[in-house]
Amino acid sequence: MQHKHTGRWVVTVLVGFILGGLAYVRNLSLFLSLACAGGPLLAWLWVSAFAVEKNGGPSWVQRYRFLLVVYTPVLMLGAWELSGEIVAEKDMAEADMARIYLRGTANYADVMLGLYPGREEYRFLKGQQLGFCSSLPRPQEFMLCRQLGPVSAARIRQEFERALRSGITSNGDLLNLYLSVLKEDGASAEQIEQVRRMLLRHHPALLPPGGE
Amino acid sequence: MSVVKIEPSGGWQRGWILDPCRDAIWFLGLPLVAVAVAMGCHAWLPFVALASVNLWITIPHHFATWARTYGLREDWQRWKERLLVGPVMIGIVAWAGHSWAPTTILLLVTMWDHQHSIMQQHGFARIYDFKARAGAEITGRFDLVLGWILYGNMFLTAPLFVQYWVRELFKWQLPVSLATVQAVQMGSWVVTALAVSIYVAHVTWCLRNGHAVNPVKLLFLGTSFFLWYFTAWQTNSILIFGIAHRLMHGLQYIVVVRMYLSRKTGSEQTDGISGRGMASGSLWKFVGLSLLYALVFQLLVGQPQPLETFGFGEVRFDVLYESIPELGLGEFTSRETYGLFATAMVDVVAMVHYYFDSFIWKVSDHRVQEGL
Repeated sequence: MQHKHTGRWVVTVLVGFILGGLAYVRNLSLFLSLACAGGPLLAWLWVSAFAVEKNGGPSWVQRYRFLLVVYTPVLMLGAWELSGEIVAEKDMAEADMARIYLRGTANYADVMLGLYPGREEYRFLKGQQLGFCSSLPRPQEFMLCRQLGPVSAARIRQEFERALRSGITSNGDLLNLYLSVLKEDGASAEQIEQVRRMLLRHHPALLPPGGE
Repeated sequence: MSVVKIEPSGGWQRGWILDPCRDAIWFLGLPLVAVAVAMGCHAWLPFVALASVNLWITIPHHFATWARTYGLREDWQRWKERLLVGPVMIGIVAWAGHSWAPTTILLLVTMWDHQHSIMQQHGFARIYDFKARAGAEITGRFDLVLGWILYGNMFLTAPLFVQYWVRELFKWQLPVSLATVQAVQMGSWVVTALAVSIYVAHVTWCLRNGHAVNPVKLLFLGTSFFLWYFTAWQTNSILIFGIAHRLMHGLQYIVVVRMYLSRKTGSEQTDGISGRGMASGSLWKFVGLSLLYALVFQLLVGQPQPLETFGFGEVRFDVLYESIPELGLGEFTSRETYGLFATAMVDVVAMVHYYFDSFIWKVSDHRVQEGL
């Protein structure tokens, strides 16, 4: 019985190995290659985990089936991320980040503002959108920026200030960007100091170097 | 400890996790107080107060899990293999995830946290039915499905959460239009309305067919979902949601573990570190050990400002911290170092807590019932 069990293991791993190898040779994407290599083993684990329990109690796969359920989507999503389809925000280029805010009419900022038009706190998304149009080297590549025309620091500042008036303190990025816009817009030293204090109070770790 | 058998008698039948007075404080009143405290924190404290609540409430509630699983001899003997192998498996996945797929691991921890929150309230609802000997055989399923649908609806419609998942979709190059999101939200509200109607019909069916219904359970579920919906809808602050939710989740969990340990130590065969050390009458020892654990944890992983969160952002330890680099501690300001610590400690500890809770709190388990 034990030999039969081990045999199935070996066959499953071998099938995965062969399929993964074929996928690699056929130059399929990393995500598909990983799926081919790990798919048979994962399928076998699922079948074993949800098979009828034997007299001796649950098998080891059955004892850990909760983790199997949790980790299966993680494996798939992880493979997708590993293949470069998902990029962590900190690693995103500014142009990629800008696309989220500037993509035609269906962009992050306009969708959120359309969903909750009365929620002033989301005006900071509009501020960020305008900020991208103002800071990108070639904003005219985006239709939205062409429609918006030249964007001044004062306009961006106005959007941030509308958001801040709603009492929002949890958004450290907003405060940081607002600080930059104030400087760009030639705000008074007192105003800049006030925002710097606010940033230091709520998000001390986000204060830019030399900001204190 | 023997479980008192009460024959079901139908109609409204009250049952309490602890007793009427303490339940009113910890399970029915706490969510309302937590919302008020969170609003107060938002008004008067800096955002780092959220980290403080994590430090003083969430981390000790993890400790309560360790006290039960590793401290009670009975639990240790029952689940020794999973208690040893589980953290290793979770640690490996967390390490690999942070190294190669950080977005995925972040999503995993976030979604597992949501699942864990739903399941904790569901578990308490099961205890309420168990204590009142209420509900039909299928009532647990109704509670579970309703809980998931209500929470899911909040996730899909409340601005606090919508801003995150819509943003993630755009990041993954899966752009959604305004009309699509509105259609999803409309669908979610329709499903929720249907689910609530079906649940009401089930309660009515129970009452008409001789199954008792515990009104305290319904009140408990009502106040829990009030906390979630109110904070997710009425504010855009993750600070308010986070503080209110963690106060409710953490404190209720600590109260139940404390009750469980006390009752188990009253039974014949239970012993172990927690059994002896945290028996009835040593509440302050339990609280003291929990806070000590929180302090050590924070000192280990709370980079880059390890002392900041002790004082809710009001007491500025970081001024003192600024001078520490002269003593050779400058490296601790590195965010890279923090990332490594976070990998090893914060996510793993949280996930191990979620995992253990998935099998140590089965209310249908007779040995668990002895502690309730």
